Amino acid sequence: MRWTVFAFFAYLFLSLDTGLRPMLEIGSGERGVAPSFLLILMVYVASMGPSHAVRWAALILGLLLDLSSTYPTADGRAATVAGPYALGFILGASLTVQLRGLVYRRHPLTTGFLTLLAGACAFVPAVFLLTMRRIISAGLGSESVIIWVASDQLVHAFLTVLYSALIAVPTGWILNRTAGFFGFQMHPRLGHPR
Amino acid sequence: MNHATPNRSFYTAVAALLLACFLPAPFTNFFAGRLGELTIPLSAPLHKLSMIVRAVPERLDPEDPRLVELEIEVGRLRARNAQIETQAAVMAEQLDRLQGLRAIDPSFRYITASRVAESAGGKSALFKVGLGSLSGVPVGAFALYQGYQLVGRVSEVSPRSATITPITARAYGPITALVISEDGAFEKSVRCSLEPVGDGTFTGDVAKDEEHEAPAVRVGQRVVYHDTDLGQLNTGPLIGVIESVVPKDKAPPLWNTIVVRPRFRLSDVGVVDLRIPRRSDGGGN
Repeated sequence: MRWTVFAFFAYLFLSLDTGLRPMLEIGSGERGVAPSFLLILMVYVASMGPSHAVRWAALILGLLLDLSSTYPTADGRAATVAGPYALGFILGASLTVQLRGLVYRRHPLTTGFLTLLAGACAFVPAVFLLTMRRIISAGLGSESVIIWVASDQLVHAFLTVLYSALIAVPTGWILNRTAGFFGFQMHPRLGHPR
Repeated sequence: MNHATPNRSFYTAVAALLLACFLPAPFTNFFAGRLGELTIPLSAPLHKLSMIVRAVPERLDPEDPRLVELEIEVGRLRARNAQIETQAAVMAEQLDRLQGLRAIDPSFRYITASRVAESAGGKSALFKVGLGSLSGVPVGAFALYQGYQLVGRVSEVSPRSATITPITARAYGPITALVISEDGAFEKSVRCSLEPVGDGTFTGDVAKDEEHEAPAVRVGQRVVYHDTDLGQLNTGPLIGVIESVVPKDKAPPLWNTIVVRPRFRLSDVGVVDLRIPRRSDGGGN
């Protein structure tokens, strides 16, 4: 896998995540749901790339999502938490690596299907970790405890994954055309990575 | 399938991330701010494009039944127009006051900032604008839409960007507000505490004014932020307009529950004015 191409796509998809939200958002404000392009990219890389590179790629993409997510805190400030999505993405990527041998990756629906499964696998641990952080910091009496309702966030995460899976179909089709740039080597007949 | 065994550095990174999940916010906010600034060159034009695309009005088919509904609505609006025109004179006066206040108030300066990015994960509705501490933006500064409508408050600042917590987000917490009387007399205004509901509106109970008779608040009355920093004029930024009033059964001091809706949709806000105190001690608003 070519890491420079990966870096370019990571930057592009992070900008899509933070920039295109007003256009793609369903609902508004707190109830708005938008797709996660970084999740789609993670699933695409995990379904195509070599296993050892996939882990690092998932970690990097998850960390980018962590650092571009802000949460309001009880003291009226905003907090960024590094880690939850990065760890969730690693789990999601591991699941994708396990499943990718069972699916035909070149099909546009495959990226959508894998996004649904890997997204659930990635977002549930992230919500769990952020909930743990909230509980621990509240227990310690910290003023910068994030305002976070786990049940709300789980529903939001589910809708985000669902929406991402839908968007992953056309995005996956486009990404499939870039496999050569990424340097992914596919088995000529089976469509599996070598 | 090739399942390469993760090496030690990968496990170290995972352990570090697990630890980072519980690190204090200022540490990670530093990196988040820098990353946000890095993505602004691409995310800002994309964001602008999104706002333009979203603003394109929907084209309706002439046969569409919604068009008939809209025509009925037009008739209703025309009828209301006459009523509104009578109120316009009062509002124009109030607008002059607000603009005058902005011009003469020496304790604040206003800078215009574009919305450049959104919070990517979780359910928070926080967004970023493209000015930060290098432009003198402090934590706590108010963000206004069209110069008078309160949009939110700066909750985090990096050198070239600032994170805004919208007033409509539940995380903003309770807001002390004034319901302005229909004739615009501030001495008759009613104080209340509003809570963001999460759907873009606020709800609150109207408190009794001890000096005056309990005034009945009505649908359509303006609600402004109770801004003690503005001294005697006390005309804080607009929060919204009363959308519904539900009488309470309980005895005073609470007798009405109001629902207030801002005059903006958060998704339409592309540019905000940041109100920055001129005082050197900062401290926001």
